[in-house]
Amino acid sequence: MIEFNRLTKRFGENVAIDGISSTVADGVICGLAGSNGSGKSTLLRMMTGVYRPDGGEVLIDGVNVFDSPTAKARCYYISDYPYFASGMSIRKLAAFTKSMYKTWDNDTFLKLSQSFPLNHNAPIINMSKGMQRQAAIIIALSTKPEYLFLDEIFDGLDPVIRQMFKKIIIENVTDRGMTAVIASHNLREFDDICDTMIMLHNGKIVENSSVDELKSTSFKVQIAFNRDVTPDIFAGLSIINLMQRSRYFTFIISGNEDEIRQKLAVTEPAFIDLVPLTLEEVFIKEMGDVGYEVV
Amino acid sequence: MSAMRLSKFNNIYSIGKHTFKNNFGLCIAYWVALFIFPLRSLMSTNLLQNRYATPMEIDYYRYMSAYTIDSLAITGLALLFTTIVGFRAFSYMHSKRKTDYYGSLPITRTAHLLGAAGSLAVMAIVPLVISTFISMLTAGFANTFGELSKLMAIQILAVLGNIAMLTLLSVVSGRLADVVVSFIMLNVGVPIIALILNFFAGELPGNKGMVLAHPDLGEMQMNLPLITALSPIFAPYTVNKLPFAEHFYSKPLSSAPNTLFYIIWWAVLSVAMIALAVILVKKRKAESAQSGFAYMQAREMIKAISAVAGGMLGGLFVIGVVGYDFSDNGFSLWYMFGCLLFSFLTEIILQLIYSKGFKEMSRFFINWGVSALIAIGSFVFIMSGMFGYVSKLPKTDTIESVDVYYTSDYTAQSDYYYREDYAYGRYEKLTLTDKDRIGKAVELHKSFIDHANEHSAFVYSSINITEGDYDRYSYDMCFVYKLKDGSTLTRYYEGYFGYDFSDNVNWRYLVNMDTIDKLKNTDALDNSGIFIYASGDEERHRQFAFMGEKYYERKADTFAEKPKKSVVADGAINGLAEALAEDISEKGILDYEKLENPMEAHLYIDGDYLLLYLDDSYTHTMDYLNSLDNLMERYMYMRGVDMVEDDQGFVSEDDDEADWEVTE
Repeated sequence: MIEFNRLTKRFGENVAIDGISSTVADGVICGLAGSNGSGKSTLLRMMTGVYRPDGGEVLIDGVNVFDSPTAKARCYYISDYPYFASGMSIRKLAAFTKSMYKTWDNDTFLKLSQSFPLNHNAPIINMSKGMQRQAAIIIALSTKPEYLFLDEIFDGLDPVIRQMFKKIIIENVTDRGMTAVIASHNLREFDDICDTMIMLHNGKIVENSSVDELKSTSFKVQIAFNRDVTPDIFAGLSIINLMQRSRYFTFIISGNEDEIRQKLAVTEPAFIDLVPLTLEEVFIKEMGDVGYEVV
Repeated sequence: MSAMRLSKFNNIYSIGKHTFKNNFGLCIAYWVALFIFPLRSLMSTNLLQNRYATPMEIDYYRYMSAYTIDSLAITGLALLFTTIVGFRAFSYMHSKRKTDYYGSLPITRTAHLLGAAGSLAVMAIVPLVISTFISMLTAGFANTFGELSKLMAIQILAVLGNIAMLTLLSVVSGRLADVVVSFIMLNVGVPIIALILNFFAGELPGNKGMVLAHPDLGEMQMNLPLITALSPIFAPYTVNKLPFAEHFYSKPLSSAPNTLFYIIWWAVLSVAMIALAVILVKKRKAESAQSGFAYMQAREMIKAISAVAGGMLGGLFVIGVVGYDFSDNGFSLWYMFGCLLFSFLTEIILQLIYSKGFKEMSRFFINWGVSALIAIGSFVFIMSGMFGYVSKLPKTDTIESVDVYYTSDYTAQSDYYYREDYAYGRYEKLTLTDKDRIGKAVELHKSFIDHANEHSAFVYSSINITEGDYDRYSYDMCFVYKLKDGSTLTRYYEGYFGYDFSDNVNWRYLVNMDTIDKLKNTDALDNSGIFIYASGDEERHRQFAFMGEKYYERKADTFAEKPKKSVVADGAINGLAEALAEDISEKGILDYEKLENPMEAHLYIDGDYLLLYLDDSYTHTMDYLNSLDNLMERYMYMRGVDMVEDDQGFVSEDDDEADWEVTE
């Protein structure tokens, strides 16, 4: 389990992570979303022991991960711009990684090498962006990590490779209980893979719950009336993004589906439809709640 | 626990191997360059053999090539290699992408740092050792083992010192550019500051080579190991085991202290820098990669050193441009202006490099102000006499003894008495323990200080009189006071003064008494002599000559010329010495200007020369000479050879008279 308590990170005057606390349970895929500069990558770097927190700590199974080889040996981190030394081929990188991680599994390496057909002797830095990420994925999963941290990993991958990679991650989670934390701007990628979501804004957590819960507590409502009504009719309801076209309204509302339906039924609509939000819509809604919205 | 240690070691080894592989190309180039030297030596030997050189010539050539040029070049190569690879090996801390990758690896920061540093040391040192052993074999193992082993030890220490500094700088820096600039600034900046301060301090009266040397070390050379104490690149070249350093140190004095200082200092400093790097790397902010210094204190320190060095160098540049003249206060003002201007320029350049722009300008002005203040303040501090340093004189009753060193030419003001065995830089020494003589030494020293105060403007260096050469006198004199509290006070005067200290009565007293002491020492008399010229009236001259244990009355003036007159009395010189000593003690040294009827006494005592003036007030001496005269009358058929002076010097009026001999 990953825990962080009152985690804080400052860059000069700027507070990148502002005293946040949360946990990521074992065997889940956690999506890390947030506005630009919200602290996603910073949080990942602290989770992987790259950055030393200014306050609080990150514990992996109870061990402070910062400067702890024991904790780090169970993790693997692929950053948003993975580093490969000049002249480093997959073969050489595999040899080096094998020397650093006792958990290195050669069979997994060979199997993944077949799934992602890349030239193992060519310098990785000469490969395309997507191929470099594939190389990083091969190496990462060959270490059989208990905790996998990925930053914008889908960026540059074609849809086929993307789906294949998602499948491999899910297999690792289901087969051996791996925990994955994936940071991305593209919330559509989270829809079919993430179990939980942490949303960040200005270094604070604005939402932290399971994806199912997020989807089942916020709805996009389409409602129509056969009489003229004003938006005041929804007074008392906590709605956002209200749009009106004559007698037709759309808005987003949070809460239990049955309760929402009951409350809206009071307004005697001609038509009512509640659609679960996509994660992207949830994100926009959550950000709107904290004042970060499209003007 | 042991499994954990093993794992930790394995990870360090893995990082070391990884560092080596990443720099393999440079390693190959370094190794090839290193092994060229023994190869060249072998090929040259073959060539010499083909030219029928003698085995001794070949051995000499092999030895010299291994010991001189090769060692210089190998040291340079090793330092160049460690510097370039060092920048690369520690760059994992200076790039965000690298930081993300290496920072998440299962290895502690300390182990990673030591792995990289260790790998760098192995890459540099192993081929160095192998190359040196090959050189030993090709140059004759038995002849070169000792010297080349010492050289190799110094080279290894130089490499380790360089790696330690690169390690520390890499830890405190956030960008590769910061490391490079800081490395250059530390290597160059500190020696510049030390050299310039030393230059000014050396200009102070009584302070030639302040930082630097003690007269007992012989030639007053700069202490280069001290000046390069923070310059791993230059420091090894100051150790006299390396041939280059021979240019800086004179043979008899250079050997042990500089080498020992270098070895101890760099061993301690290297360990300290690595230890500090290990402490700092644990708390280092990884996010400083590509953004700025991880430790701002280091940045400010390096900026300050650089700005001070730049300011001082600029100050010298400005006074060079406007005219280098120490004799007025304008020199000081121009220097200060140069300090202000160039410390500002240095600070601006470093601001642009370190801060990538004009951020933190308030701090910039503070830093510049501090740097300029240090540059100017240190100048003012030194040139105003270092708060009494120049005028400090110990009280006579606190002095245990005084050693007064002086160069031989101090007493040889006249060409007429030019000594053929005179050699520049040779110091004579008076050791004074007698209270009376200590008092005279203090008085003499005081006259130097008074003269300095009298002729100084704002800066003491204006004591150097520049108006014409005719009234200038060259001195090279050192006072070393051993005080009763165990401390030592040393003041060293060298240069040109507008005052002839050879006329100083205290000086003449001290030197004359020393000569008299030597006269009393019969061991020295075989190589000694005294000539006394008396010119009582215009027509007649008398010349008394004492050589060894013999007394002559000579007609020839040249000391080297075989005396033509013979023994009057054995041991006469001792009697004269006693008489002179008594007169000097009672009457002091006579002032030539005040004498109406002076006699000149020229004393050559065991290689030393001394000129004394006598007159009738030296009663003991006169009585003694008269007694010799009587002796002469008794034993010579002709008394006194009348001497007159002509263009050729002193010659006899009657050369025929010179062939007689006296028998006792």
